[in-house]
Amino acid sequence: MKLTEQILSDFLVGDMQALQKIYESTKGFVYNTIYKMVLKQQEAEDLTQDVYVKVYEKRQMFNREYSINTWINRIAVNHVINHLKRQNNFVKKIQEISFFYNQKPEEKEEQEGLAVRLLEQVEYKYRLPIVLKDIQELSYEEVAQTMNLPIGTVRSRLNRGRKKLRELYEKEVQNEKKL
Amino acid sequence: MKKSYDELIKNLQKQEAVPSALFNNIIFTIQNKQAKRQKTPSSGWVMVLSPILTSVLVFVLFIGVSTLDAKKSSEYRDRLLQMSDTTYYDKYFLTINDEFLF
Repeated sequence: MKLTEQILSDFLVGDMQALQKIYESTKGFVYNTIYKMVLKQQEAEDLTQDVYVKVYEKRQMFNREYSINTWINRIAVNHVINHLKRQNNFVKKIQEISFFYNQKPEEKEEQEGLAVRLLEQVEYKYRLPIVLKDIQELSYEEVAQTMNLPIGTVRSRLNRGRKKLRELYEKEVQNEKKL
Repeated sequence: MKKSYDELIKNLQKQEAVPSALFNNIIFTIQNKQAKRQKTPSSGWVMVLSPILTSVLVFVLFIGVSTLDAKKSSEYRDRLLQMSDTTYYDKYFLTINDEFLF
């Protein structure tokens, strides 16, 4: 669905139907980006919900000179990164204060597959450009706009992320051979 | 190895379906928040007015206490002046003594 100027104007005055049209047009990208970052369905749903509530509440801050997709993607990316940071801090704190805490916060299901397991091991700073560029197939410019970073930084982070993912894959293949 | 990376990415490119109830939850959350805000429409004003009202109250209290204090001080001063008046002092002293003795 193409988002017309009228839809954007209606959205800016708080029209729920306009919000629904924007949601329908952007939900796939937003949900899948979040899902590939957190790799848990329930968490992805909750975060997607938070993102659209935020989009509606902060609608007055939207600058019409830019694309609404980029604006929403940026909100989603910032929200998911803040969430992952908080989660990391929480896990660290739990591990610090609990001597008997040896379990991972949540065990992954086997069916999520090797690719997901490996991606999860890549630090989120490097995981995000992989998700945006390689998985969601955005251009470098769009990734840079979404992450609010220079293209050079995006490229270097993407290369590091790819390298890390390849290394993890090699390690996995070697381990399988040993077995 | 390039091929294997591409294969990994291909696996990850599979798009997940967005849960259908998600938009209803979003609308519900937004409406809930709006309703909460409407229930306390003055909360914003209270946030703005409370420091002003507190300042005014403190100022009024300060003025009130100062006035009372000044009044008391002047009364006390008059009293001292009266006490220093010998005639009054004798009279007062005797009166007190009389009352005390008899």
